[in-house]
Amino acid sequence: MTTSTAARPTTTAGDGSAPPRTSRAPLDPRLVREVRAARAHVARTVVLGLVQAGCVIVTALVIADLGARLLVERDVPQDTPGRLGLLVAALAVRAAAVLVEEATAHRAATAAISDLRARVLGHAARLGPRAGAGRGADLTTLATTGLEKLRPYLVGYVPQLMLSATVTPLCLLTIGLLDPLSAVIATLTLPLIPLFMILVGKMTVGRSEKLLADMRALWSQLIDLVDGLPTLRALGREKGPEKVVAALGDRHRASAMGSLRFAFLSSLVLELLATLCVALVAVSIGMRLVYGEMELAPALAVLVLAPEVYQPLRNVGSQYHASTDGLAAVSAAFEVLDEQAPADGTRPAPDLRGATLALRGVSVPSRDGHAPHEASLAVRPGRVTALTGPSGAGKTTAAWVLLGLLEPGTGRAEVIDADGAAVDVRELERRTMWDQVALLPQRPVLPPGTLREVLASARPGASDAEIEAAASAVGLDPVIAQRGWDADLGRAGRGISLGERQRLALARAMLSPAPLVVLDEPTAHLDGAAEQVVLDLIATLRGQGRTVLVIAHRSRLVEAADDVAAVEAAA
Amino acid sequence: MSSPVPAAPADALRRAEHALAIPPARLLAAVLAATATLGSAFALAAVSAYLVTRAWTMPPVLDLTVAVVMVRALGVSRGVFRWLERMLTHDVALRGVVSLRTSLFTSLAARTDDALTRLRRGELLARLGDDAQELGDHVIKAIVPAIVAAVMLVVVLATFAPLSWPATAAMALALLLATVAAPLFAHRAAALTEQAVLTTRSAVTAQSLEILDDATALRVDGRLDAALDRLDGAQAAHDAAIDRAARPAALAAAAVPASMVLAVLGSLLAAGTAWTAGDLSAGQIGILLLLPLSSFEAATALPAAATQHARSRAAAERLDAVAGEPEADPAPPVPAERPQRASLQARALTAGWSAGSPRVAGLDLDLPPGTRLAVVGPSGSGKSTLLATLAGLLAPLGGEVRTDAASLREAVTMFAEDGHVFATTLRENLRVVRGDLGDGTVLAALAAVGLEDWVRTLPRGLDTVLGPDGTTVSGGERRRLLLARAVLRRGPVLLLDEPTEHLDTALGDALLGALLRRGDESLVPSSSTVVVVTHREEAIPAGTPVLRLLPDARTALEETR
Repeated sequence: MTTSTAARPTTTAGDGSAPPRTSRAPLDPRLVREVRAARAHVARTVVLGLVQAGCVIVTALVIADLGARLLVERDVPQDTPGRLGLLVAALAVRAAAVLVEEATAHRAATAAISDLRARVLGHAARLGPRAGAGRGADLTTLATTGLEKLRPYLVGYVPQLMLSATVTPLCLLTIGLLDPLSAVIATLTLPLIPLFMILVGKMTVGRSEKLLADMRALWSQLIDLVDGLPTLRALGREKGPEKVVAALGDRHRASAMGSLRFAFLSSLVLELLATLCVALVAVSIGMRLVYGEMELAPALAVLVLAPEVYQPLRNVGSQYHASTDGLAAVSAAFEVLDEQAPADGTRPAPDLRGATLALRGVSVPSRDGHAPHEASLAVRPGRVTALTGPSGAGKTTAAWVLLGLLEPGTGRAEVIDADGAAVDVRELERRTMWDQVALLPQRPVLPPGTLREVLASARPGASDAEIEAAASAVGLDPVIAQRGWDADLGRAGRGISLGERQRLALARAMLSPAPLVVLDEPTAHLDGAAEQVVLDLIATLRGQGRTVLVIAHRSRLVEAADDVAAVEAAA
Repeated sequence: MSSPVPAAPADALRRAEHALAIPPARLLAAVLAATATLGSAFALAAVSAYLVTRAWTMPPVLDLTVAVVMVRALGVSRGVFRWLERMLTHDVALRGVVSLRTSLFTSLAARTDDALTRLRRGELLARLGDDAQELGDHVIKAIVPAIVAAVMLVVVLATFAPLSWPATAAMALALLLATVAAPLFAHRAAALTEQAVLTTRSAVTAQSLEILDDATALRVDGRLDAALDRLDGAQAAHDAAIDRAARPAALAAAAVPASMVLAVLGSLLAAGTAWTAGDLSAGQIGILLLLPLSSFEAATALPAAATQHARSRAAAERLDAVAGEPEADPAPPVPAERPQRASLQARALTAGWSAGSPRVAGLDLDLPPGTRLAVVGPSGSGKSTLLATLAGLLAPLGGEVRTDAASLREAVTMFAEDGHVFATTLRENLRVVRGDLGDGTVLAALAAVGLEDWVRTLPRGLDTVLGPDGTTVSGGERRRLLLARAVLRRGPVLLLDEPTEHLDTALGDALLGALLRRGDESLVPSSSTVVVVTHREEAIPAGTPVLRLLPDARTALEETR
């Protein structure tokens, strides 16, 4: 029975207040088909639903039977202990079924969420650097909080849905066997529920949109005040706007209540039909009993069962939001998984020590045009190539295409081996190529571990002397003096500053035996003095006969290069 | 995070409830409607049980009329009461959220320490949005259901008491089990979940973000699988934590059907005894037989109420940290008439956001009235931090800032680089510095900063609405608007952060000169002290003192040639 009360546009109000905007099946078929934990969960809830239905029916029949015979015979029936045992067993089994359901539902939800999360993340990574294009934040939200919405869906909504698919029809069937007329009354009122829900939904749809727009407007005014609070405070004028905050809130409340007045009609309809049916059944049974047209036992059983027909439906209604949020998360996840990852090639990459990497008329679509546009360049072995261009020209993108990380819109990336044979980078088995590449991205990405481990992993088998020389060369000595070699840098080196991480990444590039080193804006997080470190590193790499591609803004880096390639964007 | 020690958690929720300022009459109405809703269902079960068993004795039909009418009426009333209840509880909750948000805004604005300066925008919006909403839900899902459950407990027991004491005793036991044990389990589960979210889930989130952000580098390095494995590890730890929370949650859910066993058994046995002894009528026996199954509706809402209680408390604690301790002796409001001149001194001042990395250390500065000072240094060297500290908006890490005026806030006004342009008219955006400004003064200030022509192009002049939903303001126009605010302010000490950024060089340099040249009154009276952060060193007028921020938190005071 959740209803949001804040003036936030992201949530709407009411349980079952608005009809589903898109006609989605209440159970996503792909979720059941492809996520094992979800499939097992659905199967289990069906079984548990049947068990609960059985318990409800047994409970009703035993109470009715015992009660009727007690009243009719005015004596405690002979088989009472046995019947009471059966009754207790039925109630106990029902409690146990609820217990099992609740406990396993959380487990299933956790398993389904982690399954989907791992698949989405793994797949997004394989989709390449542009996987998040156009929905970068969406992908992050989906992987972190979005998928968690599956929990209320699987724990709260799905079991109630299954109960309404088991308890409701089975109770109805039992009523039909006991007293057909009562079953007719129930069967006639049941279809009224979806009918009235649709009517109420039609009535509220325009209103909830208006409410949503109102909320958005009021919330943005509130945000304006909050954003301005530091300014007001700096001006010593912070007193007064709280009246505006209160007035905005009151306007929101009035608007929300106006809309809820109609939205809550759905709960009115649901409750009304449920209780009205019970009342009609009770009166009809009572009238027939008076004239001796009916036995007492079936009458009592029907009276107990009638409310049970409606209970799961009412619960489903109250879990409406869990269902829409959960289904939205599921379909967003499958949308990502449906995207085809570029296929890996099969040919082994040539030895990059003697190979040239080239772009031939490569254009990559960007937000407003192409970046890069018609880029052609060559990275020759054993030379230092600077890749330049204004910001937004697609320098990093060009490097991605060169390394086979991204498929260009037009043009192609080639690897030309020492013998002059050119092969499209797409035909190469990327692993064999990337094993020969050391990539230093703009934001350095370090493996977890201690300072020594982080450096040692750049070249397995490197001696301590080599590691210490590399650390010293990039100016890490003060850090080592301060923290020691065994300082744990935490996950991904988050324990040290960005500049220090950059130096560590440079040391790793120096240690790495890879014949091709790609440096993306290596001086971005370093001050002027440290720029020399990068220049020295490039000189060292050149001395070792390695190929260097450096993406650079600063002129000193460009001056240090043997070749300069420029890329530019086009609208 | 903030300096005052947070008070005990239980008090945080009580304070938040107090801030909701729920009117007792409205709450009572909501509770009455909710009780009537549940009461309708309960009464319907009782009367229909009575009706059926009484009918079985084949009395004259007229004897049943009252029961029949009641059954029909109760069949309708529940739906109506439900609607009323939902309207009333939501009204109370929404009112509560408004009061809470307003009081949060007020206490935030009234904080005398630097909490507001330190608070991140996202966090502030989360407090005002999600957490305020959580406390609204506290009314709907915790407060009202808890009161209603208590009332219904009495109603149920009062219904059974005249029929049979043993049945009442069994029912009392069963209800106690359902209303006490189940919520306790649920509360435990919610606390464990909250903990799991705080610890293990944040590890999962961090690892997920790392994979998403660094996927390319991880792939080329061949470390993607290792990263996915680490995600699995983090996820497994989180799963285990969630599993631990699921156990009490399951017990809470099973407690209601389990306690029903007791109630049904007790009632059946009591009915058997009473009927064979002839103590009760057939109708009353019917009630004893069937009513126990319908007596637990109020209790079923309690586990959810307990969960909400745990969530509300967590939200209240977060709100408490933002709102801070209520000021015992609130600082006197800044008077409208402020001193004309004031001196400003820094003594051994160390400024920064965290003690570990001071941006400026050991600074001594003397700014007698009328001083003009330029602050320069590379980006990230702490110029804005120093300004905020001098303005008293950020507490110094060491040393002190002194003034001969009554208080720092009274003497110093800071114009931040990211000063906010409100979504209101141009006039109000300038009058925000002083409410009593006439249009003439406002236009003169706009002219002084070179916005004369711009105002003329605006469709409605000073009445033009600016901001996200109004006329967009370019970067340069925005800077000049903020500068116009400073001009209108006319305080004894004005601190300006990059006032001429985004302006074309000629205009920017002219304005910078007008601000810094001693005796130039075109923008600021000569008695005012003006400190300007700028990166246009070449535009600083000759002879102006310059404070240069150097690496390692050092500073140097020099003078332009």
